[in-house]
Amino acid sequence: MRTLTRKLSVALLLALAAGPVPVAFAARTTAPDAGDRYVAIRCGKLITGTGEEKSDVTLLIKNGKVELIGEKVELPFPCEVIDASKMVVMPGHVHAHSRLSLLDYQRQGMRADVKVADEFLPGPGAFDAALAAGFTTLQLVAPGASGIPGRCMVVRTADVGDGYVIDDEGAIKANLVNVAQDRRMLSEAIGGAKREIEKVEKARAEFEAKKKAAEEQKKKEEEAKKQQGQAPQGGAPGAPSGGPPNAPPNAPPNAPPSGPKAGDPPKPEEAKPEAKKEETFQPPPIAPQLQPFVDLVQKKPGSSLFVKLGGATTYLHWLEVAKEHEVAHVLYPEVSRAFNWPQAFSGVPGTDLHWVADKVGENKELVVLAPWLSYIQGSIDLVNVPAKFTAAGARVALTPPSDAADVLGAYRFQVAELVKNGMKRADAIAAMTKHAAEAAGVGAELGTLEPGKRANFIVLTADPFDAQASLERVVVEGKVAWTRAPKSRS
Amino acid sequence: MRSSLKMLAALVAAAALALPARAQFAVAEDAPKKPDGSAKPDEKKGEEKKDDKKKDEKKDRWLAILNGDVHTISDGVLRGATLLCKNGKIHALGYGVEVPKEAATIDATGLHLYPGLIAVNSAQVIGAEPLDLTTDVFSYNVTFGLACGWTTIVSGNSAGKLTYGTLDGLLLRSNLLMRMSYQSGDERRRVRDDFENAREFLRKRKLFEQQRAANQPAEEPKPDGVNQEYLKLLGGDAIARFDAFTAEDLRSIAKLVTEYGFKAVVFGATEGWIVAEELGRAGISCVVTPMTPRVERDPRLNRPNGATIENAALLWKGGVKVAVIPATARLGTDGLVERDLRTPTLEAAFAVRGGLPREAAEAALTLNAARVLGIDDRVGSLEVGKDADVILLDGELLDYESFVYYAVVNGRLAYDKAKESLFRDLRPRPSTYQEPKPPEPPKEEAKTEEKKDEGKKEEKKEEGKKEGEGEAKKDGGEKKPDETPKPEEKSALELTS
Repeated sequence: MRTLTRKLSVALLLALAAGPVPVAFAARTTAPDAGDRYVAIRCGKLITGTGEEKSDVTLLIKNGKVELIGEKVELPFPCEVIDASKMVVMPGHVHAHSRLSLLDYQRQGMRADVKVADEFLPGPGAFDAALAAGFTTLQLVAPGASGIPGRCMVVRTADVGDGYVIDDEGAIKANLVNVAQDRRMLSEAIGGAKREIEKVEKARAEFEAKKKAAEEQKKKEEEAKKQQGQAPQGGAPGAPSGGPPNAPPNAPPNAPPSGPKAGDPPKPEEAKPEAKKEETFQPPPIAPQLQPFVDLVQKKPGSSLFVKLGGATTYLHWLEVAKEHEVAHVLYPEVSRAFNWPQAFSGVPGTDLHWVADKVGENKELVVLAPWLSYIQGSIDLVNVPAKFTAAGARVALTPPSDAADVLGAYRFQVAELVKNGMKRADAIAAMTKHAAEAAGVGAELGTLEPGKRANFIVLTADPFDAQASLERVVVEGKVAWTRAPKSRS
Repeated sequence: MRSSLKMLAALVAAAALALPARAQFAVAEDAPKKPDGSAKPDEKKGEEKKDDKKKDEKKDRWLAILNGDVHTISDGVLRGATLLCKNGKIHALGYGVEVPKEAATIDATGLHLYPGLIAVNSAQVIGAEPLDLTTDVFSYNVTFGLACGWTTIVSGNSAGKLTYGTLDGLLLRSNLLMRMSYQSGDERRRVRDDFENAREFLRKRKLFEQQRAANQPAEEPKPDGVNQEYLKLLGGDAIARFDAFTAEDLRSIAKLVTEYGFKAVVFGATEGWIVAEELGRAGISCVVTPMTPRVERDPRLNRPNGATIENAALLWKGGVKVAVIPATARLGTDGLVERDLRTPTLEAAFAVRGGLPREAAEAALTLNAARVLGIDDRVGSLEVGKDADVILLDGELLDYESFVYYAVVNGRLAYDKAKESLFRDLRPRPSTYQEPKPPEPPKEEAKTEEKKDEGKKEEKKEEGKKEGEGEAKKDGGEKKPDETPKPEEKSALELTS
């Protein structure tokens, strides 16, 4: 009941905010359970994130997912309509490296068994700052700057009915900052996972061999039985039995170990499941710390490594690690920011990442970067690392460097500065949308506005890179999660 | 129908196999032979089609330094010679060296080539142990070190190369020297005991081996209580490092070394000049700082004492291998004032002022430093087979005016003065480095030609000389006649074709 009233109020608010609405609200009267829930957004301009920018189109959403995008869309009957015909709609921002709502502490060593999801207890309004800045998805990363601190998780910034969690077993975060420690730990983790896999394989092979041997033995025994008529049966029940069809003729056994069976020999059904139980291979337990890495090495879908790097040299070390074991990964190198001039003269650290841009591009890396211009190491010459990387062929995801409200709020304008300084607009848009979602491991369902993907988007009064643009609305999975407060409209 | 499909597949497979095989052949043939300018279009295409990474792995890395005065340190000076590096090693050195056309080149006309300098000690220049995991190969120190002439630097007990931008070949060798203290009575007794034990064990083992060879019954000696390090020393597999300054200490070390016959190096050796001949006879090497603060003779001591600038020279005369290290092991920016790793040649020049011959002073920074560390099989001189660590200066090594213009480490150009902001604007000289020529693109050639046109007349002259030698430019030269010589038109043509 309460949710219904809330929704009603939201809809009302919408109606007020949107001004003249061309289509009557029908959604108001229907309960959400009654059928599919449709929302249509008339967009003045739609940035889909796939590289297209369309004017005067309608975005139709069905049950929180994009149904279709078109210029003339026939709306289904119960359909909520949001009018953004003078505004710009783009996918909601994805923050690929956030610690919002989590306690800040350091974790040492190899702890891939620990999940961020275990410590995820968001208070009310925990993500409001992100929401108000246009972020709809956050990747909450494991803490600490050394070792392997745990698994990340992906959340939405607003609870629109399903809770916050999108993925509670996200990428494994690994640090490769202090190379002398971290590289060994990383190699050992991957190597250890390989050993675990070998162990399981070996056990499986042994099991198969045993099973075969048991089968053969059984056959022999059966033959012997046939020859002798009825003969007592040896240690067969302990060992996994052979093909189930052979089981029923096993007949009344007199041997003491098969005591329970002796009670009801004519029932083949009972014998069968028991045999099957014995048959199934029980793999030896894998160390919980290594389980995520086992998944990683086995290339299970969704498993990935989120590698925090230091400077260019650490990337070379990463290449060495990747040469030994190829795993799915996202890179998150530290980019130092070009601060203002007086500080620059007193030894602000510069970046050296652009010197490995060619290699990063050559390997088609997916790199998460802060939207910053940097000083070149040892100088006060500026360099646009994201632009260099995209130009070299890497996939760059731009993500705010911290969770402070003002940093989140400045996100689009910081990206705009990169565009001003040589990054292609299309690359920048992709870095904010498609690649950012890929970096968070949710590229298949988020990041762009395409049919089938979750309808996370923001409504802006002007182009996202325009300093005059202000955020009107944030929609999470088809539901308005944030609307600009009326007082700020003046 | 199905059989025909199979046949088609077989054909395709055969073609696919044939292509790389052919390409391999082309590479193998090109590399050692003198490249004949006539381009083989088919093979080139084949090479293009190959996987890029594979190609990189298979391709030899060539770098030719042309027309420089090569100071080999080990074997005199070759004026206007060519030094050819292959895969990080010196492949050929001398006159009339055939340079493969895919080689990167540096025209060193007017420049002097020396082996990269070796710092036997350093602090906070590259990483600490483990060197290969803690060194930032993009750090400013690496560039700066190269600009000062160093290519090999000892940190902790490992020697590392200043491989700018790559981790390949960063660590040269670890566990270089075995530090020993031989000063107090206690230390001396312990060291001698350990040596005695080790020698005794070796004697017993030798006896055992002889007995076994003679089929006599024998018990194998057990190395219980024997210091393994000392066994290594006696076996000649390790080098001992002493830090000693007074004549007294040096003399006793010389006695010890003579008695047990192991390899030793003394760091410091301020009063080495007094016992130079004893040190020389014992085969001890010394690492000295030629200009130490002057210590006047103490008249209370009834023997020669004190520090002198002639130390290095007198040690050398006594037959000691002398290596030189500046007073401080850091890398500062204070130039001539602060005598640290910034000014290696200054330190060696001081030794010359004290009477050391110039050649010996040059060796003190290169070959002898390598010998001291036991890495002279890899670095220290310009010889075929050694690592291609070369510095190119515009003057003699010990001339205070000389600048390092290029530093080559492991056959890679690691420092190019014209391209680094560090000293770029001081006594500038246009870079003559030319990237290795990929076999395929004629487009690139057009580009380089354009660059050359932009370049100064000097450069053009040098280019001409190079063409005279015939290797580097042949490819472009051969192709020119059938096209118009203008690069713009050529590139346009290439684009359309």
